[in-house]
Amino acid sequence: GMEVEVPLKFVVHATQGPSRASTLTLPHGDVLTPVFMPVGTQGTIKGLTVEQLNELGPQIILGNTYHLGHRPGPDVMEEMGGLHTFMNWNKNLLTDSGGFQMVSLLKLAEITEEGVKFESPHDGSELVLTPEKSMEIQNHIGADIMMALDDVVHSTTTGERLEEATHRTLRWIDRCIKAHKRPHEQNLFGIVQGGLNPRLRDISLAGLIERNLPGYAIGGLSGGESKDEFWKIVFQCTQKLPANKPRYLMGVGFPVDMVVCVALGVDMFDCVYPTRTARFGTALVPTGLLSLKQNKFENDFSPIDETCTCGTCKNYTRAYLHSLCKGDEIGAQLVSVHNIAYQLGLMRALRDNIIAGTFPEYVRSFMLLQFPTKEYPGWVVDALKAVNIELTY
Amino acid sequence: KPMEVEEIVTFHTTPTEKGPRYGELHRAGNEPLATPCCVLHSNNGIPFHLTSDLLKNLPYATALHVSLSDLYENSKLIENYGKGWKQLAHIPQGKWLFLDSTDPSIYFESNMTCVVLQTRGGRVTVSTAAFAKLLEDSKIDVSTNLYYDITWAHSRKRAVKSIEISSKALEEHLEGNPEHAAKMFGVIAGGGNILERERAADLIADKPVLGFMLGGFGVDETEEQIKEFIPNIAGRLPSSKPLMIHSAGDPYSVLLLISLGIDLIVSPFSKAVSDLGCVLTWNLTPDVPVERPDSDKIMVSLMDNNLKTDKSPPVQGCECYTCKNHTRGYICHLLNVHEMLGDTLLQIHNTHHYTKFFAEIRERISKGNFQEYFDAFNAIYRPDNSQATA
Repeated sequence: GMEVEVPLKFVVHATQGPSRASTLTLPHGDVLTPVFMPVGTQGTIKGLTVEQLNELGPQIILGNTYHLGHRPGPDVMEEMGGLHTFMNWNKNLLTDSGGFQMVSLLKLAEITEEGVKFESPHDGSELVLTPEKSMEIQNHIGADIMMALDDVVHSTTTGERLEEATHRTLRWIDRCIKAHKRPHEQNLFGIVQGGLNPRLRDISLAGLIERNLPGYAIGGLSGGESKDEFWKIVFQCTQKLPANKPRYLMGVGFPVDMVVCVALGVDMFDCVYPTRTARFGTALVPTGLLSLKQNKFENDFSPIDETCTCGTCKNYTRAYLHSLCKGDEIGAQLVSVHNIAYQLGLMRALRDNIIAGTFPEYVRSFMLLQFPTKEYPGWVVDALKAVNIELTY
Repeated sequence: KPMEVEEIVTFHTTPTEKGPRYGELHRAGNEPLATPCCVLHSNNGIPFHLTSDLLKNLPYATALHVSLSDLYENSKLIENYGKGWKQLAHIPQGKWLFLDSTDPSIYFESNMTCVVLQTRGGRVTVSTAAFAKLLEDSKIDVSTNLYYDITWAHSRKRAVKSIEISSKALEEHLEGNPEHAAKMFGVIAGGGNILERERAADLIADKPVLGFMLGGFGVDETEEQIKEFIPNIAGRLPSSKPLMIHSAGDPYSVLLLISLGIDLIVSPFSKAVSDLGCVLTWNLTPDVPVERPDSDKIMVSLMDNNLKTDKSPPVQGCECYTCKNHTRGYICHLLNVHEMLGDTLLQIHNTHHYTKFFAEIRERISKGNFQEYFDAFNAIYRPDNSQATA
């Protein structure tokens, strides 16, 4: 294929088994990987100002094309100079293609060769999201990384439909590449599909690698499938994807899952989980979860996590946050800040340990904190064993 | 029980016959509170969406109103914590918190024998002892006594009752906790009955309280009633003590109240404007003509879809975080998709604009040209000299 000079550099500094610590250089700065990308659906991360976000320190965040494509819409976005300028965020952005949310949010989403047919939520008229349209919207948004439109199916889909989706995704990537009008400013990532079928995954992998894209995502794996099948497919993909390009596992964000997948060779994650669970008063901590709504925290004047340096842990107690859980929005916001800080801190710790050569020890101690009775989930044991990490018994 | 030095609050002013005056509330080891000032409505001391780090960039927002109805259900938590509400809620120590027994915009029928609060958990009867304990444990800077509020439309019978409950509550409180007198605003109840108001004032005029709260204002009184009642009541109280009042808080009402000698105004105005999706745009120096868009209006709606590609700040020249960093078009988007950040950005601007208004007023009073400022405001924003307040 044609060589396009893409605005992306990926340098691997250290590895430990398949895991790697790298620097991903994008138009709006460096991103240290492994990385967790907070999700800022509609051009903001749930109530946080850009200044507050910079305190937390993410180097890249996500925007959703489906939402932004409706409001404010691509024309307003272009007029206002793209999403960076619009929200006054001068670090990196990644946008998804819009397809996944259509399929999960809209009733009459029907997928044809043309694109994703759906009923407009505003006036009920029939619209189609084509690869070309997705590229157009994402070009207007101007994110540093944009995702190709893929034929996304539920992870438990099998048979003819899965076969069709795998091949169609490859046909669509060619349409995406052709329609992408800003290849020198924005990086187009392809998404590996194929469900839980290794043969189809291989076809998808080979086809995307052949297109020589700046980066690759592993799609179709964030809901419904068994964890035993999940990790094997992730591993198959990381083994086959080129080592000199970033690997992005979409929609995965539970801490245990991310630690295992970093061990398997994943570099990038996104998930709404940390901010969504914060709205229910649930905080992420090294030992698992803290459900702050529970009355046992009524008089607990310690912070969510003694080892955490985020603003919430520095300045607020569990007891006070518990009192806010009865419906104050500010409670959700404070816990969101902590949860994002937790995820970012976890990624930093994984990275530092890969560089220091102590990654297996870190994984062991992490899992022991999460499962103090040593009843580790079978799939975690298997996955780590596959990369020569034995857990503590 | 020996009183901690930090708890003494004193008021300094040069008393005038009547009319606007500059003053300061002092307490040991902390910043004085310059008056006239705005006591902002808040959610237990946090002014709606403005966490402590955002509050730090709002230097004119010096005083926050805490409603007892909201704080009361945290009584046990506050007692167990032991280090005061400001620290627990991470409210900057330099801010002043005012605990108020009532929120005049929430009226409900009470049984008239005691003070009943409408809390999130339902109706609660509050004893003076419980209230005094909460005030003590929370270490809140200033408070009113427990009182029972009525509207202007109520009967004389209710007026008499409200005064009875309020003055009795003050007496009981000071009997049990005499050291609280130095941080207490005694409440003058009595609704719309001028004779009862006078009687209420006489009842507590020589109590050793810090200042006086004129209860029941800020809901349904008229401008005439403000002009009649306030000088009458104030005339019966020692002029060396500060006067506090509730108001709807629109700029004209603020200027009017201050011209009548009010020192502290509890106001929901800036928050109400944010709730409407609007930004305050009026010229804070009407005595100096400015040329900027919308300076001829009190406020402008940012929900208007005509603004969706507007790249200008909400108010040109405003030095608040919102105006320095964001465009009308972006805020318009946030409001239309119901994102919380939209509310936060409005609150930052409106709080800044509104509290800066009070700073401008204080400066004019110090310089002796408050009346010219008031006249200049009226010339632009009330040219037909209409009588209505908010």
